[in-house]
Amino acid sequence: MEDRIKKEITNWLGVVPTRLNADLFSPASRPRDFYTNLPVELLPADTETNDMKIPTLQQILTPPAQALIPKAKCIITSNGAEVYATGRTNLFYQHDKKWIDHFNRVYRNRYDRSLGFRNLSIEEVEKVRSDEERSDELAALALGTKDRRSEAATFYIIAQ
Amino acid sequence: MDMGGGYEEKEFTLETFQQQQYLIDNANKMNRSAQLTKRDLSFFGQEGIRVLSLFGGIEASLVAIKQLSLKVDLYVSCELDEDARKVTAANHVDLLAKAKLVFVNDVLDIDASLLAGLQKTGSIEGGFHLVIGGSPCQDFSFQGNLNGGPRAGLEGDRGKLVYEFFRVLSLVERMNARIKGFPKPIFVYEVRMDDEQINDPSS
Repeated sequence: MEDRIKKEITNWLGVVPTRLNADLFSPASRPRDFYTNLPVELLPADTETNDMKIPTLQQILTPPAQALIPKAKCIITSNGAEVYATGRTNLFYQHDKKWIDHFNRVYRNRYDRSLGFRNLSIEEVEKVRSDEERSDELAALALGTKDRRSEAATFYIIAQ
Repeated sequence: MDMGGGYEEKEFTLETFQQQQYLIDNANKMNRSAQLTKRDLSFFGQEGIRVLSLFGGIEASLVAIKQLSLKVDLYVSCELDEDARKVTAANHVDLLAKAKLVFVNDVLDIDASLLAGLQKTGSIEGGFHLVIGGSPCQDFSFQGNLNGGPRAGLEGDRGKLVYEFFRVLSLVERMNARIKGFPKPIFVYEVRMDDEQINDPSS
């Protein structure tokens, strides 16, 4: 983020940012700048010494969704698709090509530079889906039943 | 003080200082690892905490507040995404049933008259103890640069929403000031990190 933007926010809020990992407070694990009028001394320093109860990914999912990891690096909600979070790899699938195109367009730069993310073709998406149907293990990762998925409240979870 | 760019730095008020001093004093009395416990949170009054969450998403903040065993008097979730609002509603039916969870679809809809209506919602007539939010920051970082052009920054359609946080916070500060005995709001604004870290897809 440009210094100009930081200064602008500081000017308006009257405080300088404090960089903390969001996992100290939330189900997301990622560094963020926090602007707050709470004294910095009140903020937890790290997860080792922080014994506050912190929300996990599971706690923000709507049952019967199952979280495989305690924290996700990026949590996105939108309609018509789910992204699965696994401990081994980044695995996601979508319902239709329109969504894939949208996802690829929005996140192309991120994927190209990423360590593990990449665009999935429709064929790959379908393979993931069929693999899931065959595999008990993968099936256990499912966020919900098909009926449940048809409801609007769905999740995209991208994580390692 | 001019911090460059022609912007004037805001001065801390006595009220802000006293509020911070209150929290520091309480924190010093406690074990550091047990910060922000119930004792500290008596700051929020007997009726419970009143929260205004902007760009709230699926309201993980509300999960955190519940985990602190904080009593919630009013939680106003402002989120444009309908699916996210549905997730929040599904996860917090208890508050929804008591009309303690209120949704505002668009931050642009929040004005003095809407806040005046919210002031009368909940067990007590009051302002907001806590204003939290993290406006869309794609224009500050990589997504604003998809086509190789300059980032839209604060002038982008999404980037300029940060001013909505400032605007609403200012409205809440004025609203709280008009309510006798109600503290100045605590705010937390969260935003993405520096450019050098944007290559990390996990960030």
